[in-house]
Amino acid sequence: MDLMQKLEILADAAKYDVACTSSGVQRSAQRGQLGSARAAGCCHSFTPDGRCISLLKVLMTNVCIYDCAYCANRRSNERERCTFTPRELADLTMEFYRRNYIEGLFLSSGVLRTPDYTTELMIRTLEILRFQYRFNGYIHAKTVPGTAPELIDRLASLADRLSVNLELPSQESLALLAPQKSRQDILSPMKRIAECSQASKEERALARRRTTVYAGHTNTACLKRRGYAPAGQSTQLIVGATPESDLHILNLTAALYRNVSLKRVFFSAYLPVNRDKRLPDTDAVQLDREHRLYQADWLLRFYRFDVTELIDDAHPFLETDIDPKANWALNHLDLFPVEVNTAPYETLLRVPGIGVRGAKLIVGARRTAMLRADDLRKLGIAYKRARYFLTCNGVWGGAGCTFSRESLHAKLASPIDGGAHGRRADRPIPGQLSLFGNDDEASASQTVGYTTGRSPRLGANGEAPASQAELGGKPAGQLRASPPLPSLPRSA
Amino acid sequence: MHASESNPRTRSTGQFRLDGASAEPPATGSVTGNPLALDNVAYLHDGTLEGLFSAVFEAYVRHEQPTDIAPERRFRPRLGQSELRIATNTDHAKRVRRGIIAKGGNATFRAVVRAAVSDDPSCGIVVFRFIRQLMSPSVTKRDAARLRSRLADPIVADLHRLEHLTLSEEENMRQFVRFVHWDNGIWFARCNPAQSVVPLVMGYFVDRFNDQPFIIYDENHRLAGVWDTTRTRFVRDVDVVEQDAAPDDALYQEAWKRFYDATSIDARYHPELRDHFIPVRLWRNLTEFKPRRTEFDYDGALHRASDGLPQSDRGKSADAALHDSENRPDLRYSEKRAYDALCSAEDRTDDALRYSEKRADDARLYSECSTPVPSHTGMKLSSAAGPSCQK
Ligand code: SF4
Repeated sequence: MDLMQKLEILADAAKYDVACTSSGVQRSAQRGQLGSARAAGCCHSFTPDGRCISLLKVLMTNVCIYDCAYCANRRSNERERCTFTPRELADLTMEFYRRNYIEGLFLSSGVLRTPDYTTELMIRTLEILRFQYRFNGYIHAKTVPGTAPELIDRLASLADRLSVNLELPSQESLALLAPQKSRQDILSPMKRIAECSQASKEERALARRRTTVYAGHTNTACLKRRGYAPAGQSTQLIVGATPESDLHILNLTAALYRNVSLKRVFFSAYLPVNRDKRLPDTDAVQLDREHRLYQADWLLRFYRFDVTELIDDAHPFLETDIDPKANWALNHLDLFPVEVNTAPYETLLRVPGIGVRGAKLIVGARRTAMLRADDLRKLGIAYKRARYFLTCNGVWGGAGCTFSRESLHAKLASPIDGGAHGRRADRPIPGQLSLFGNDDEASASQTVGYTTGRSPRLGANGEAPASQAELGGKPAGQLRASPPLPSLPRSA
Repeated sequence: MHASESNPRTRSTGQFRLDGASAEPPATGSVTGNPLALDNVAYLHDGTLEGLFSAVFEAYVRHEQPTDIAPERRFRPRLGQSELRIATNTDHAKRVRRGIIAKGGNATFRAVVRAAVSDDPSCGIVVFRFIRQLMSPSVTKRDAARLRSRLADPIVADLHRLEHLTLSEEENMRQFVRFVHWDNGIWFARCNPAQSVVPLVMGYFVDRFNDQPFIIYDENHRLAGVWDTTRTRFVRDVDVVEQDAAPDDALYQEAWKRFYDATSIDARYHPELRDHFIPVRLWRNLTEFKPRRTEFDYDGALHRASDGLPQSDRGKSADAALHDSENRPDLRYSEKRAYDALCSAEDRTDDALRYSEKRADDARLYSECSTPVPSHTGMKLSSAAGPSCQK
């Protein structure tokens, strides 16, 4: 089999992993070394489905000894199987990188022989890249559940970001659909990465300050070594294969941000690739639900929202016809309208239609001038949406509309632009999750309408506004404890 | 850059450097006092940043308020407007630069440069008004640093708009420049940005690809940024004759196209979203939108690829090629003929001219670029698949 065929098969097999970001670490280039990394990441292309291509995303191998129900590469599927040699993959990465096609490598894998053997293959590839080719670009490596901690450490010292895919939001679902993986297999590497990454960060910070000198030697040596997963870790959750509610998923997400300091949680709408009686029997893909979850996730990380503000036991699924931020505002109409010229930054952030950038621009611009409606339009905020919640110099922007939940809901509701093509254009079938008869709640509120939108940037994968991470403060630290937590071990 | 005194046009915007020397900001006085001041006058400059700054300087000297400041070759006079050609004077331009930095700081200067390289016809006058505002005595030095956040002021808002256009075009270039590996070892990228941003992003590419000699050629502004692994240079008004590609280049281009097709998920097909992220005008220089080869001699190409130099030695031959051309001083700074190994005006072929002079309209290219690609499930993956994607 030639390299081209391998590439096609292994790229095709890796495409269901939605994480493809090259952000989180800033590393300037070094003379004689190829490559650099930008904190904000960079998308080098976009697939016909509108997702970004930032990294060369491939599997090391699509051979797998496991049999996860939702996965195209599972053992019981008849497929063509192949494996990259470390050299082939390293060469391909270098050649793509030199042509500015990619920002680096995203290396995932099926399980060949044992998790350890697979990870060693991956490590070999990264070693060729880092040491032989002196590649200084971005590398995202996936850890295979069940790998020895020493190998994970080695991987972490070569890659920028690691990820362990949680895949399914609960223990029961995992036992049902991925019987060979245990929750412990997934959570313990996550915890380990979080702890070691934190320790390495602290060590480097100390060394940089040069205030600590132990018995005659400075510890700048640690700065020369690569850090431990300097861009942190992320994970992915499949949405819609199992009956968990949005409430459950968002609480889990918040807990992950808080306890294992994840950088990102990715949501992947379940795509039916296998016929299996354990899986929902439907062709519909819950892309709109995925979109809303991303919006909610954004609110948690950059807008200082708490899960309990977005969703509660009474409504365990996010509204489909209106985005979570607008929904929150409609539920708290007593706080609005606010005066643009005096409202504090935190309050502006909560106005639908004003983003992190918009709020900052407003705060800057109003120092010297009284802002009027026209000025707001020029600042590039979505004034059409924001106006119902603002007064400019005492004048309410929403003239011609009554300030009530119903009429504002009508103004703010808008369907997610699913495009005019392919299956996104179809309406998913209501009540599609009837497979799990025991979870009435889920199937009842599962009416996923054809829906919605704010700018598609939110839903589109890719950390496009990752620069907001710096602006928006510390998402994980901001979150308060919320009562119905899924069972997650607390890290120290 | 010793040639700049005799012919300032050889200097490009990216080379705008400044070193200390006599420090006085441009006069900040009022516009009264020149009995000969024209009131409906357009200043014409050579289209460089230095030219624009010289024009700004001239306006202060002559106590005039020009109604337009524009590059000479693009200017159409308005009714009753007189024209004044401003000769580019590097010293004047440096004084303007010094003045801006002294009052507003480096960040403000960078914003002004970004707005000034914009292709927007109003950019000259927008920049001039902003500089006037910045330098006016009513703006204190403390306010001046913050002037750019006063977006309620139309002058500042205009500058902000142009700056933003340039910033996003810079990002587009970082994302969508694609290099081709030439047989002589040089990596070549052709791009068509809407703003002349090559000088602004050159540093980023030099950083990242510091061990590979490369050329980024902006076919819209006919400007080439050249990195020979020791030094960056800019060459204006050139055409590029494309050299033969390295033997393995076609293989990796094809591999990239296949990768692009393979990563798409049919069930999420949404070309409008893709087109929103990749402006259609940039497609023609993107490898992934070029037609796929139906038959390709993979084994042959692979063989040749593996016969080639080991990865780490690739840069060597390229270095040599560049150094050869560098040792010919007559070519070094000439305006029309840059590296003759790379770009030559004499033996330009029709092919090389096709892009720079007869620029085919984007609409046609759009349909050419988007070869329909049958995916695994038989669904068409190209935007040519349905009429509504041409929006
Ligand atoms: S272990 Fe990974 S590759 Fe293997 S079947 Fe499960 S999900 Fe698929």
